[in-house]
Amino acid sequence: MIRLMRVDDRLIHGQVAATWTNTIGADCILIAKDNMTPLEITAAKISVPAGVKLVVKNVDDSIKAINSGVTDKYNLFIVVDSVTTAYRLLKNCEQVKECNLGRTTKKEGTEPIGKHVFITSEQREMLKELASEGKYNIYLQTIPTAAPIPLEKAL
Amino acid sequence: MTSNASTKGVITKKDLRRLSWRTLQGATSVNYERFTHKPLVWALGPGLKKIWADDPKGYSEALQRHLAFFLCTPQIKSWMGGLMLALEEELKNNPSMDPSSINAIKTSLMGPLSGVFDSLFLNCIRIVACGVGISFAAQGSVLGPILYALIYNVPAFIMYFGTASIGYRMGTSAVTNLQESGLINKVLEAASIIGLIVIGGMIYSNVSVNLAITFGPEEALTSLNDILNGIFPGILSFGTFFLFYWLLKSKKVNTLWLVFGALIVTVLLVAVGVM
Amino acid sequence: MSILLQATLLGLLGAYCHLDWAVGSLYLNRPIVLAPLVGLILGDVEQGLYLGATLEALFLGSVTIGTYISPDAGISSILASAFVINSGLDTQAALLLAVPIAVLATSIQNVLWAFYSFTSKIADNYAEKGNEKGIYAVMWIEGGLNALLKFLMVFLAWIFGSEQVVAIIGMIPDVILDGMTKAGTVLPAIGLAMLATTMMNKKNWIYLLLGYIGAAYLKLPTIALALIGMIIVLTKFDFSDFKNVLSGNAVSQGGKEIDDNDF
Repeated sequence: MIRLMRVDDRLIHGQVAATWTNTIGADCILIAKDNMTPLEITAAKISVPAGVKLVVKNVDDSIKAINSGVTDKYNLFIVVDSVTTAYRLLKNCEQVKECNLGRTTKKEGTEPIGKHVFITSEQREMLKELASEGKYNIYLQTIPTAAPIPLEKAL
Repeated sequence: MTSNASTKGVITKKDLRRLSWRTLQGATSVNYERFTHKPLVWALGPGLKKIWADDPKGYSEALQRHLAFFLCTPQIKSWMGGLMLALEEELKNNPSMDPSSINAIKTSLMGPLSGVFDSLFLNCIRIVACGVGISFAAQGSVLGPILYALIYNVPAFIMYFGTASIGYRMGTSAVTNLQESGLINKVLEAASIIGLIVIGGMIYSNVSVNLAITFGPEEALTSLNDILNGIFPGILSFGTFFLFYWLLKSKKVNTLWLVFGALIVTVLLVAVGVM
Repeated sequence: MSILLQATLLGLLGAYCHLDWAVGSLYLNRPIVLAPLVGLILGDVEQGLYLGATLEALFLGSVTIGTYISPDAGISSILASAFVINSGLDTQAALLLAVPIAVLATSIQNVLWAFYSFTSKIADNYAEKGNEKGIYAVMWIEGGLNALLKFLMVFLAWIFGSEQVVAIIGMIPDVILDGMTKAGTVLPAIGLAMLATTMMNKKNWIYLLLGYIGAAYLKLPTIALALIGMIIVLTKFDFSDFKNVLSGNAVSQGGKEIDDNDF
């Protein structure tokens, strides 16, 4: 089953990924991202906590895999790089209901919601749409011990 | 080891040596937004100036580029620095290269590599250094702090002065090769094994939990502590360690609360005469 | 030695706590090195060494990893050791002082580091002009002020606090001080447990037991345990690929077997 989907543009990043994996008890991490470079894959492989399986797929293949049911036997932790990818997964996968907005870096044309999440105006629209549908649990939270902030409050 | 460096571009062995010296200032100033970015620019500066000597605009962009977020284990800063100079040189010679790929590589590597080298330096070498240092200092020997300093810093300086050329000469392939060969996993496992053996020893020599409870007739007073230690030496220390381990790992108790809690409980137990 | 000179010398040790990061992150800003130096300044190296051993064991698990900034073991060990040596108190009484000082010192520094996010904008401006010297100047001024802050923390605490702290400790009932002394040998277990949480798992916990048995039954010193550990890992793992990897030759594929990259 899917334990958590997290948006973090650092993907699997040292202690952050390790503490989340540990807290939610995941045994498999899926990185859903288009155009992963070989170096990013290497970096992810170095960071993945011991004893946890790592799968890297582009977004379309990730959606297919989740919907096909092959992921059901894992306690799955999905890591995506952007709000846009998270939107696609939430919209296309019946199983994905929860989304943790962790961290996306400040770039040109982005605005902050919360302290660590920077989004484009397009992504803001996506989040508004998801929030208005009311069937998703979306919140901002950096580390497990921090208090989650509901998306509605942050928007 | 740096024989290829001089043929690859403008950065020479001497420049890499300079980079290594300047990485020693690696955390001179720190802030909560971008952490140790200025010391990175301090370390890369002379190399960047040489690479971008005939292109002031390129130089200024390079300075701005490396003022982005930077944080990693001190001992790999030389390695990362060498890699950054190689990438800058590539960018200079290949205008079609995307400049943002340099920071993308930096950010994707610094987290994972720090994870590995923090485990090696902080959780293995430092523990050995502390374990040895504490055992001498506890007997009042000045060898304590001296051995501590040497055990921690000899490997550190091998990293500072031995890895700039690896980063520069091999670029990202060093990291890919280390991962693919399985060496990173081996180093991590090995570091944990040595660290845990020393921690095990330190539980016995640095922790002591004793009970003051005695029983029996006055002429043959028996101490509960002696009986317990007869079964397994320091069984209470060992048990206390696992109690704290369980509280931290499974119960996610905040460390500071644990320290204050342990203080209060010990004082109470001493006050009522149990300890 | 006048209190002013003492305060200055101790303050310089405080400044070094920051400057360590500017001379190679040597990790000499830790209790095991600082407490004996405090002993040297106050004329009791031997107690400084005992204090160093005690406080290092206490702060063993408290290290700064990544963006997590730990309580300030350096400033705390300077002040706690100095107060204890000065007052003739028991070594373990340092523990009573160390933890609160460490937390306080870190909170003060936090303010400065948050403020430095703003001064970084000055460095950004210099970068736009291609003026590296300006960036270096910002770095050194920030670093210098950070060292000055730590100097002042220790200096002022010693000038204004040494008598009060001794007086306050003097008011604490003996039963609590006795408890503290005993707690001094219990607390290191927390530091060791903190370290173990980051590295111990189902596969390697047995090595912790090995180390314990080596110390408890065979009375092996730490150096011997570390060397045994090295022999174990050298026989258990094959590190011969290092040479090939670092010279750029092709290597055998021995990565994580579980990574077949599909479900």
